[in-house]
Amino acid sequence: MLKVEGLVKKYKDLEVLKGISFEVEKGSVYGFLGRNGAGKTTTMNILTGLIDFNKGNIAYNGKDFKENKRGILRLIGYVPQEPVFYGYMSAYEYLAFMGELSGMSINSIRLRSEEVLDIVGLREAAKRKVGGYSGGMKQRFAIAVSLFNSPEMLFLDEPTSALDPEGRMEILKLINDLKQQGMTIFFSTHILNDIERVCNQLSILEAGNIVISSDLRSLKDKYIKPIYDIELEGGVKELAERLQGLPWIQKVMIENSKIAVYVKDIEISKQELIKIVAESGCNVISFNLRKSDLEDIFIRLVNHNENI
Amino acid sequence: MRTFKAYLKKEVLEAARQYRYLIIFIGVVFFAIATPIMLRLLPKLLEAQMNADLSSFFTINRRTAIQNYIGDLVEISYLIIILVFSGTLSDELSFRKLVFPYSKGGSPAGMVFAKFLHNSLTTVLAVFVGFAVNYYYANIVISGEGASINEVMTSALLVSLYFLFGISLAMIFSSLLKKGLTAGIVTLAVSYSMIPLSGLGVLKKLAPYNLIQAANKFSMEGTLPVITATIIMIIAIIALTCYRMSRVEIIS
Repeated sequence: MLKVEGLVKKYKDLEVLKGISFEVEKGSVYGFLGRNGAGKTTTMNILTGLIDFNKGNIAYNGKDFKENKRGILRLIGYVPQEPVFYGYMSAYEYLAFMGELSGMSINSIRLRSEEVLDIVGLREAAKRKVGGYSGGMKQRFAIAVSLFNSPEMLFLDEPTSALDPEGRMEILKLINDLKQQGMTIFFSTHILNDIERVCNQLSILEAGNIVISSDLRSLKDKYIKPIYDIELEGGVKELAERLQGLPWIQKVMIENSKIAVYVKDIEISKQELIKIVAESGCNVISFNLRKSDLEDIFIRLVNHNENI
Repeated sequence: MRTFKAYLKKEVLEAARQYRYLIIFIGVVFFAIATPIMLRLLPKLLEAQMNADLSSFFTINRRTAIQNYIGDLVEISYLIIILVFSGTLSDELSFRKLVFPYSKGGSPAGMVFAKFLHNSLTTVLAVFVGFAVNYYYANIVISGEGASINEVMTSALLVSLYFLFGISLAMIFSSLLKKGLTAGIVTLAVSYSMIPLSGLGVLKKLAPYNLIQAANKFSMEGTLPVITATIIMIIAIIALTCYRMSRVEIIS
């Protein structure tokens, strides 16, 4: 749906984006992960037509972004990190303004206003001036504005970073709802947990470069640590000695009643290890594959050290 | 066209909610009422202060009352109008209010045209109302030689055109500078610095300030070059503003 190739953005001598490439599939929730200052917002601003870029190509549904900019922008929605509205307008008035800008009829504006305000739970505050809204309400209203013209793709720039836990959960639930409806979402954040909750594809951006682009499942499979933690009641040494001799096991470490089994081949270990433990006759208290979360993977990738 | 329509409505709402109409109409109409009264009272005030009859030093009639009003319009009302409208684009840019409209595919040219049209219509209306009120009061308060309503409306038209030139200048500086006040001060500096230049060489016929000199004469005679030149300059400045707004980075 969206293809970005070799995107470069410079501010005088400072190269903020150094030729990044990635592709967003239709219907996916694409996480754009990176530390503050990595270039996430710059990428967002380019993709939503707010700033220009120096080199590279952007194609939306096969159409060149620069040549078809206004037409493409009518198909997308954008929620900036800090949304700004005309504060003297009520929510209804602002949505009417956006509707007219999108060429909607008065009737469609009226109906759609009620719909989007319902979605974000702001119907009761719709007659109040937007300037008097709280931060969370403004964020929700920004989503209503971005959804107003029923866009094909939604860009969300760190929508949860300034919210309290409750507000954050509401936004994530909304993203999940939109995902269920088949909307394509491009979601930038530095909150790893949010990516794990809603995204199925992601890119990790570091200092203007894409460190990795992958779907979340493959990424976890690739970087998952092949270590089993087994806790036993007795027989720890005997079991460890038996495991040490197997060709698909790298090493075994003992700590009191626990054994950490480092395996070379995760697939064989999934089938064989539990059988061997069962055959040993030891009483098993716990048996776990040590999983690494996105935070581990992120730190390993951005520090260029996959062995951490 | 959709951007133009949306912004035109938005400008009307904004001007009403932020009391811009009120400020402009007070700024223009106040002097229309005050100038004839002040002119009527001035000799009496001076006489009371200096204990002498100074009426022979003043030529005060309905015509001079309107000419004095034109002077007040150019010196004070112009300043008020420019300062009110100088933030029209800079505020939108610096406070990032254009993020949603631009990211929805809004047309920069549509926005610029809507703003210019709104600001121009407001100003022209205020100026014509001001002249009408001034004509009415001058005829009530002051006696002597007067100008016909047609002559007064001719002056209003010429003054309006000069103000439109100022509004176009304010718009381009507003698109170039981050603060509305700075854009206003630069616009006023450029406008006032053009006054002495308007008497030099070819500028004598083409400089917009000559519209004010013609307005003081209540006549359109010989004004075709300056009217044409001013309209061309306004169109060029608005075209440049559209170009600037289509190239500007909304988030810098």
